Amino acid sequence: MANVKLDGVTKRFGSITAINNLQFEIKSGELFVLLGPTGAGKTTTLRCVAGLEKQEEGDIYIDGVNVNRIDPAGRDVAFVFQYYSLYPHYTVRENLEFPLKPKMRKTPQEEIDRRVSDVAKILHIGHLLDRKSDKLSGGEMQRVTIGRAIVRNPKVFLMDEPLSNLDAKLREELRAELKRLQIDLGATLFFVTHDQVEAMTMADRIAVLNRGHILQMGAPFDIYDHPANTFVASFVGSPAINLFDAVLDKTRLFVKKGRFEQDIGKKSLDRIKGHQGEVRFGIRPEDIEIVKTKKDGYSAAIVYNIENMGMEKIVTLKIEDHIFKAVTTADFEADVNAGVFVSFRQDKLHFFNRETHANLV
Amino acid sequence: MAQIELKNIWKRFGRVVAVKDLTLTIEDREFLVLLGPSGCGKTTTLRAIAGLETVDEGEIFIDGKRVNNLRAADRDIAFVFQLYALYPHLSVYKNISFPLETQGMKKDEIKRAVQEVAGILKIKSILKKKPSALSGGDMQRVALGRAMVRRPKAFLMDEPIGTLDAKFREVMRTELKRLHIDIGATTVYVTHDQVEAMSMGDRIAVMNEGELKQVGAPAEVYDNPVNLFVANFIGSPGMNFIDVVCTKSNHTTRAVLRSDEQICFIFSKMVYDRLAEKDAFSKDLVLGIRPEWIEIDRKKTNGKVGAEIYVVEPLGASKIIDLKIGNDIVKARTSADFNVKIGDKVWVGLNEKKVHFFDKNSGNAIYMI
Repeated sequence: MANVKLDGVTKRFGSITAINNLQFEIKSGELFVLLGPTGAGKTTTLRCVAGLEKQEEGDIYIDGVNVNRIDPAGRDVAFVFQYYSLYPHYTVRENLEFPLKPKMRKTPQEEIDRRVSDVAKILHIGHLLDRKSDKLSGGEMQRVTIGRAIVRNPKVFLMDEPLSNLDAKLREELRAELKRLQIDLGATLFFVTHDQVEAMTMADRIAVLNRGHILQMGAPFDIYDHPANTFVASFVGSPAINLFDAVLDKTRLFVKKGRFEQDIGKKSLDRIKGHQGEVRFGIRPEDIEIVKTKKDGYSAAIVYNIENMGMEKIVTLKIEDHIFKAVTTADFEADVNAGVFVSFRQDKLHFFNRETHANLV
Repeated sequence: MAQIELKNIWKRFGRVVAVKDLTLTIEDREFLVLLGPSGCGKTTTLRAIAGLETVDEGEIFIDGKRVNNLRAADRDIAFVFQLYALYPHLSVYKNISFPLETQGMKKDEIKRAVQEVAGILKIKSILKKKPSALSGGDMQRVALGRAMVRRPKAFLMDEPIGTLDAKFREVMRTELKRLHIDIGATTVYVTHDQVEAMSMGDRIAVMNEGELKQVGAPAEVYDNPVNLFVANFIGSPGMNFIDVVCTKSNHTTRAVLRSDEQICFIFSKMVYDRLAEKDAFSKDLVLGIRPEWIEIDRKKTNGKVGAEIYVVEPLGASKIIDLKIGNDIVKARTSADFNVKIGDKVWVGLNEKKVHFFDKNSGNAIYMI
């Protein structure tokens, strides 16, 4: 399997810079996810690597070779689009064979049959080989689409939100399968999505992209536990991190002129190198503690909404104008509009610069 | 607002039966979610309530009145397809007043109605703006305002937030739920996303292949699914299923894996008694356990079963660990700092109080836990 390198890649569409000076490397055998909101430039990046778009500046290397001047067919990459693109009048087998047919690739029929049967086994579609592809379910079609990419044995797999068109349940099931498949094949997989759950569960490394710039790159837990800025912090994690503007006076955090306050502890202050004054701080929903009776260091809040998710509850809380979410165990009971008391885990506070939004650690 | 009653509804499209003998009552002021996979009949059901489809058999009542032969426009319900269908050339005020103007209402009455709705939805400050100047959340409120201002008996919503970015969907879920708390409108909401259903519904009606599989509050359908379909569909990840054969041994119950007879889970005698009570041993059994009730130990413990780590899926706040037990793969939920890698050998136990059993052939749950 090959590695992929983007060196200073910039792509413009008229006056709009879709991706700006991208610099990163995907290791051989890695599942690399480019994560970002709609319009961030993820698909553009993928298409540049595939050769479907030509970048204005920068170099793209596949397996050490500069592919700038090589057209898509010559780059030996397999692209899986968001919408299954099977030939409806062909059977599954014919769809899987197509990329290998003598006219196109000059592969002997025995070899073709072997590859098709291997791929069908891996993707659990062996029983569908003789079915016409317009008679398949969404999940089956997506598997065949992925199979058609695998059968070509490319250097790199490029996938553009391949699961986003599927029902939520099916997405969940295929995520783990695709991850396992990638590991078993040892494939280099460059995967693009706006869904942070997909990115977190599948990636070896994630690159968070917004407006054509990479904001942070790292392993899922790195990005989750140590977000480089408020955008990354808000984008990864569900429910999203709660962010507040506050003022830090020694170890005391005051939110909006003392409407509520929290002690952050000396360790936290050391972590942010003694920063004082204005700050933007974040706390993830699972790091908020809710109690029914007043305790020292806890602030009063109102229950704004409760969502029963089955294995846990999401409690939306309100303090004055501030609305934020906490995650509790499933047995937490409270009425909407009831009064409770909350505290934030000191070791889980994130601090960001109020102007630049960068992490202060 | 009003109660909506569906009695023995059937709807066919040619030879395809889209809705089969559906009976369901949506209570006044309830937020009821119709949940199911693509093709299950939920949208057809919604459209039948709206009057956009006729039904082949059965009756529909809105506010006690039989509406089968009433046109959609006369049923006094508001259908919200996509929450972004605003008139781009009109101000927010005009977007909301439009349905009333076409009815020939007096100008000052219209003003009063629009102001009232704008107050409830907290959009008074943007009444003069055009849709292009609004955030997504504001646009959604305006679309709701346009639906509300006619004071319909009920709102019908067809996957209104499905096409939004994952992050924005989260925000809108809370907003819609909170709006429902504030306004209390009878709402029927269609989605394929069980997270949305659990988060928003007072009750969830789960459908599959045209049939109603179970209806109940989120906690009910989660803790006590009455069949395999609901058990797997609700919950993220869904419930794990293992084919087993149960036998009694002294004071314990043994659940042996069909895929590997060397492996069995041990439970107390209580499980056996409950199964015996329902004459479950004449049936092929499926054991069901939700991911959060699987206990994983790194060292061999009495009563626990050997397993191999198959995939690790970090979620941030927790982890999903795919485990291979015999030839079965189950998903367990652990804390974020539970560190294992693919190939590791671990020991697995199931929380007895949370184990479900189903009849493999009928799909029905043997007993409620």
